[in-house]
Amino acid sequence: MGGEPILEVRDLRTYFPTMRGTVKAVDGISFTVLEGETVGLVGESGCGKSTAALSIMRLVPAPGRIVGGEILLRGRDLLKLSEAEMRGVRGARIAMSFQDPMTFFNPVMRIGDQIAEGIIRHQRLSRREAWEKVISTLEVVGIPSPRDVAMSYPHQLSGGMRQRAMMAMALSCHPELMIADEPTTALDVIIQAQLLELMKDLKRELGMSSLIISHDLGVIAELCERVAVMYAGKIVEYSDIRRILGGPRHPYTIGLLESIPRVGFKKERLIGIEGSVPDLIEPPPGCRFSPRCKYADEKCKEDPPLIEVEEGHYVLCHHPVMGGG
Amino acid sequence: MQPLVEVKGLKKYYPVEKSWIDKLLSRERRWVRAVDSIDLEIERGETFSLVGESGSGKTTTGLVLMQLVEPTEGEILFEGRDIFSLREEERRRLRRDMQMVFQNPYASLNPRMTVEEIVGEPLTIHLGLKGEERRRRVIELLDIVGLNPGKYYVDRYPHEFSGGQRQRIAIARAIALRPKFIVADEPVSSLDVSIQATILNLLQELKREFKLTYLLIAHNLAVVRYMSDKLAIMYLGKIMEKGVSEEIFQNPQHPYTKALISAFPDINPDVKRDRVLLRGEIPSPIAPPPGCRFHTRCPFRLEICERDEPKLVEVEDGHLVACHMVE
Repeated sequence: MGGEPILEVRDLRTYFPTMRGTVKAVDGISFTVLEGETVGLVGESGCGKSTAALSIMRLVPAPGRIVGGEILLRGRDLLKLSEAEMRGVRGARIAMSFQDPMTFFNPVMRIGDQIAEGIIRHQRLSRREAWEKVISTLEVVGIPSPRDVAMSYPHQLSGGMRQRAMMAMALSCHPELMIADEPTTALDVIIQAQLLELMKDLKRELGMSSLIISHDLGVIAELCERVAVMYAGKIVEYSDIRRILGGPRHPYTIGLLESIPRVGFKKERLIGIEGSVPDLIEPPPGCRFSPRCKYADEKCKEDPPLIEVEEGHYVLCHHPVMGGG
Repeated sequence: MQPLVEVKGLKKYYPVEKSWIDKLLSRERRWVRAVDSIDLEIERGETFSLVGESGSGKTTTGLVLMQLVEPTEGEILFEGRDIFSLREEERRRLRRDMQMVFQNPYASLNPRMTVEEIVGEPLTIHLGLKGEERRRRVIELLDIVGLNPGKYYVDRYPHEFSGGQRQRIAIARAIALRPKFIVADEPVSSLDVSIQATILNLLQELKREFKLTYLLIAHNLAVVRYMSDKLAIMYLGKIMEKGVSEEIFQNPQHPYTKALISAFPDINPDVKRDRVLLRGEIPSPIAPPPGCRFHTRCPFRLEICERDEPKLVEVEDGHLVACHMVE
C-alpha cells in the first residue's frame, strides 16, 4: 500500500428534495482510495452508502442532486466535467457493478452484445475484435463456457453467472477503479464464496483499486484493507480493517460488531442496537447516533468532531470509546 | 420421551407444467422433487434448524409442517398424532399449537389492518375474544414482544413501523394463542444486522418464558449456530447431515457441510481458512443427479457416489451423515 490516491472524495453532499423536506442522504463524507487498494463502505440500509457510490459515477437518480463537495479522480474533479466527458469516464475509467444483475442487464440483448457495446464505444475496436475480448474477459471471471454464456440472454443464466458476467462487463475496459455495490448479497453462501475468491484473485492479478459497498462486515473483512463505517449519511469511523474489527472506537461500530453472530464462535449473547435509524429529513441535532447511543450526554447535541484517535484512525464522536470491541 | 414433532419419510413433489412439445410427444409428467424423503425428530423445548441454500427444500418442509401444503407422501406426528389423518375440527384445534413467523414482515402483515386486528385475529377465531378483552390481550402481547407501551402502538397500521418492529408484530401474532411450536422461516434475513440481533434475542427470551419449541429455517450459519440446539443440513430435498448443532459446527463430516461452513465470511481477518470451494451450482431438482445428489459438486467423490445413494448413518451418538466417505 501507500500508492498514489486514485479517488479522493471530499465533503460530498447528495440531497434528495421531497414533499416533506430535503433528505440528506449523503451529508459531508470524505475518504480516499489509493492505487491498488480496496476500500469498503459499510453500513445498514438507508445509511447512504449506495447513494455515495452513485454520486461518484454521477448517476444519482432525480430528484437527487450532488449539492457540494469534490470527487477527484487522479486529481481531476469529476463534478466539474461535462456530461459528455463524464461518459468517457463511466465504464472506461470507473466501472460499477450492482447488487441485482437482473435489473442491470438489458433483458432482450445477448450478454456478449451488452459487454461488447462498452468495449466498442471506449476502445474503438471492431465488433469482431470486441467479441473476442468479451470471450476472454468472461474467461477471466471464471465462466466455464464463455462462448455459450456470451450468446445467452440474461434470464438464461443463474444468479451467480449473471454476477460474474456483470463483473466481466465492469472489467472489460480495464478501469482504474471498480465500484462494487453489494456484490454478493443476492447469492447463496457457496456461490458467494466462489465470487469472493474470484474477487481476491482478480485483485492479486490485476492490482485493481476498488470500492466495495456492503452491509456485510464479513464480506468487507475478506476483501478490504480500509473501511469507512457509515451511519445516517455520515462516515462515523474510518480506519484500516484490523483496527475497525479489533479495536473499534465509535459506539455505533462497536454496536454493529456486537450484533453479528459469528460462525467461528460458540454462543455468546448478542447485544444489538435498540431503536432505529433516524429520519434523514430532520435528523437529531448534533450526533445522529446519539438517540441510540448508551454513552450519549448533553454534549452530543452539538456536532461531533472528527478525531484522529491514532494514526490513520478517525472517529466522528464526542466520546470515542477506549479499548472498545 | 416422545418428540413433539416427528417427520417420517416426508416427500413433496410439485408437478411441472407440460409444454406443448411434451404433450405432442406425450412425454410423462415431470416433478420438482422439493422434499424427497426426509425424517426429523424435534424434541420439546429445543430449537431445531433446517439449513441449506435456496432450492434445498427447507421452506417447503416448514410449509408442510404448518399444514399449508399437503405432502405427497409421509407422515407428520405432533405429540404422537398424525396430523393429516385428523378430522377437520381436531386439525383446527391443532393450529393453535403450531404457529409460523415469515421472512418478510412487509408482506406478512395486512396493510389495511390495524395492529389490534392483526394480532387479535387469532384470538377472535380460536378463542372468540372481542372488544375490550381482546384489546387488553393485544396490548399485553405487544408489551411482551418489546413494543411498549403497547397501548401506544395498538391502533396503528403496519406502514408506521420499521422492519424490526413489524417482525415483532408478526411474533406477537404467532404467540397470541400460546402455541407449543413455532416455525420461523428466515425470521431475520430481511432485517439490518443491528436489528437482527434484537429479534434473535427476543425469540430466545420467548422460548424460555413460554417453553416454546422452534423449527428455524435459515441460510445464515452464524444465526443458526447462535440459535440452535440441533440442526439438519439439506441439499436438493435430502438431508446430508443431522445432529447436535455444536457437534456439527466443530466436527462437520459431510463435504457439503464443510463447504457451507468454510464458505461463510467471518469478520476476523486473521482467521486462516482452507475453503472447501465447490464448483458449479445446485442442480435442478427436476432431474437430480443419480446416486448421491451432491456428487456433481463434491471435491471428494468416488465412483460409488455416482451409482448408489448413501444412507444416513450414525457416526456418533445422534450425529448422522449421508456420505459414502464416512460409511
